[in-house]
Amino acid sequence: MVKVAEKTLEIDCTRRTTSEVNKAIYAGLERGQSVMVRNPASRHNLGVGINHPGKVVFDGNVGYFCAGMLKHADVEVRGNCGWSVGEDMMSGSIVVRGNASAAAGAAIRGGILVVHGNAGPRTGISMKGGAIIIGGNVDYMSGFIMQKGVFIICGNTGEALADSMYEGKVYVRGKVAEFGNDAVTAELTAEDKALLRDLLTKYKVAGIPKPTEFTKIVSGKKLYNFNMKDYELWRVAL
Amino acid sequence: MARRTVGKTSTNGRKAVPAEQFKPLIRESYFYSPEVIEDIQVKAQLGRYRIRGFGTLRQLPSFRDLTFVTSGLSRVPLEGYREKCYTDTILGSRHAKKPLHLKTPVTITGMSFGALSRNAKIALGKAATRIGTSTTTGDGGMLAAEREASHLLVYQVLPSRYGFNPDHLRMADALEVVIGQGAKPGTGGLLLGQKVSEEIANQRDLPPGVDQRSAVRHPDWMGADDLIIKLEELREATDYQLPIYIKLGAGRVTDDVKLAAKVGADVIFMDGMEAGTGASPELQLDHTGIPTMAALVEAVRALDDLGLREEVQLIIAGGISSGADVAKALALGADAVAIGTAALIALNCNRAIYVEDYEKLGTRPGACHHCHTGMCPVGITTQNPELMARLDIEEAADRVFNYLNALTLEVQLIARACGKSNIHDLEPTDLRALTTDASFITGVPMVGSNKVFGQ
Ligand SMILES: Cc1cc2nc3c(=O)[nH]c(=O)nc-3n(C[C@H](O)[C@H](O)[C@H](O)COP(=O)(O)O)c2cc1C
Ligand code: SF4
Repeated sequence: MVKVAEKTLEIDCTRRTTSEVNKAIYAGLERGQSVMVRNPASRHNLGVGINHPGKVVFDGNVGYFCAGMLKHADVEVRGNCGWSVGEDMMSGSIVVRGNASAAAGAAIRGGILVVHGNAGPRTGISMKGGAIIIGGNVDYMSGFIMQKGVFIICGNTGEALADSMYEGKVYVRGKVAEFGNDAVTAELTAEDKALLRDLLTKYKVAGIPKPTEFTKIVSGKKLYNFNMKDYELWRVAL
Repeated sequence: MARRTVGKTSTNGRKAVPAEQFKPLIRESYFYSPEVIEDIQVKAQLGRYRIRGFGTLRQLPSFRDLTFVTSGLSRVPLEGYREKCYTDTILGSRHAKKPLHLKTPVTITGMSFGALSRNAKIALGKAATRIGTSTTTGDGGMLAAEREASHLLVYQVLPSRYGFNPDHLRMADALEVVIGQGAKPGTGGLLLGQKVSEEIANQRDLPPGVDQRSAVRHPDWMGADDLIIKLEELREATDYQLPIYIKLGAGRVTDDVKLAAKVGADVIFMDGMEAGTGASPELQLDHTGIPTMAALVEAVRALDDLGLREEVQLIIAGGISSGADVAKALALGADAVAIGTAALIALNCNRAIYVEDYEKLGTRPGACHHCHTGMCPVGITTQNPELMARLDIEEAADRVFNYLNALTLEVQLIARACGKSNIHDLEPTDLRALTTDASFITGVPMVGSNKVFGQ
């Protein structure tokens, strides 16, 4: 059922195809309405390709690729999400109240993804900009080949964290199971602290920990160009 | 027969051979040939595998090993100048609301802005627009000038997602999900630091000058089950308008094609072992994958097994350089072909101009495969503005247009000679094999015997 109130459009996923739901979301945003999506029931590809500002709430669990390729809008998931939430996001924001599965925020180039719970393996893989904040833990290969952006993890990480990262900054509050190839620690600067304070306060993640509790991780830049001296590194990287 | 001896008679009656009259052959080892020796010594210096552009230098079973059996008394040919022979080609009719309508079965492959210069990209786009075919973006995203130049532009969705932008997705005419490439199946892209200029770095969100090694697996999905959902995502984001291609590097062809068709591809792009590249590990060019002709017959058979030949279109690429190749590919079951290297050669690649610059690279026109250096003497595979200026866009576009036109006419010529009023009516019975290998691979009868080798 579609109820058009003054300000909020309510879309019930039950007995609607994914295309119908998505088209209703686009139309609502274009009319300037907020959108409340009921009974998402872990459906895949909800809110894909949104290209308009406004607020969209998924009232429950969502499946793969939720809000994939997002631009402009602010999306909230009141539940857990499947693989690759917000993949290839350009702008806007996604806040997940529950946990995220694998590859959350894969290849994003802008915007911000916040997961209040835990996130699976390959979180922030191939990140090219924007920001990701995880309230809990992330699993193996998170931040793999990260190129740019800010990746904040309030809990622990799995193995191969930020492996082969080119640029960008990773901040971890908990334990790092294993540093990825060429991922190295760096001093927290005043700028880093301000950034952490601002983002954690704005999104109220993990009880807003203190910036000083975080370890900063950046690229060692040894994999920028092939160099025989770094053969040991390249043996796994080439 | 008596053994031949030279010179004086020796004490036992045989003639001895004076050394100065005899010039022994300098014999090279088969196993340690000059090429192998050079290869070992280069690696001894480099400390890594060799990387280069162009494609394999090996000889492989190919379309050249086939010939057409045209009309005679038993079949009536069409008149070359008067009778129509259709070349229109439709790609993506399975699910897409807007399939691609091409005027020729020859398309231009995905070659990245980065591997190619801006001028090369624009020239290819202009030529394709004039003839009525498509060009394809590449591992680096969509160049605005390319979108403008190319009337039908296929947008690649690659593992690296360099420069990926949903706006560009929506501006595209078709999408190509890249799983692999014939020149480097099973590995990701390569762009050496000398080609990662400020502009290229910016577009790819990389630091300038890095040796870029891009991912081989997509970041957001893993296996065929996920890909079903990924394709739905791409279709949702583009309102089910655009055809979706899946590009495969030829290897496990039968299984890969079946999976690609089952996950919902509109078009399968099969890239054979001969396929060109901007930069690949040399051992991958020569020692991985399946030759184009073999990949094609395997792919066709796989679609036949599923009963999807009519629904899913097949584009074949890798080493296609003449109208004869195109016609043979169509006869064996391809719906279209794609050319990369041949289009670059039409642009001017390996042309005997600026010879001294080929020499500086340690090569010569006709044998250049130095695209990876970024110092392309003719301005095609370079990001150096001075070198790029050597490629005049309009003249280059004219040459590629002429070449595409020539290829199309060549296919028509063969089709008419075989009595076909549509190039897509060419079929395996129009062919004979010149080698037992080709007969065995394709199931086309051997010349003379009219039997299929091995059957
Ligand atoms: C200079 C150059 C750059 C290429 N860049 C890409 C690319 O970005 N993405 C891709 O899928 N294939 C790329 N390829 C491979 C082509 O798409 C295609 O598979 C190949 O050119 C076909 O073989 P052919 O060159 O023998 O016609 C590139 C090829 C060349 C020659
Ligand atoms: S001429 Fe240019 S495009 Fe052709 S092989 Fe040499 S470097 Fe590559």
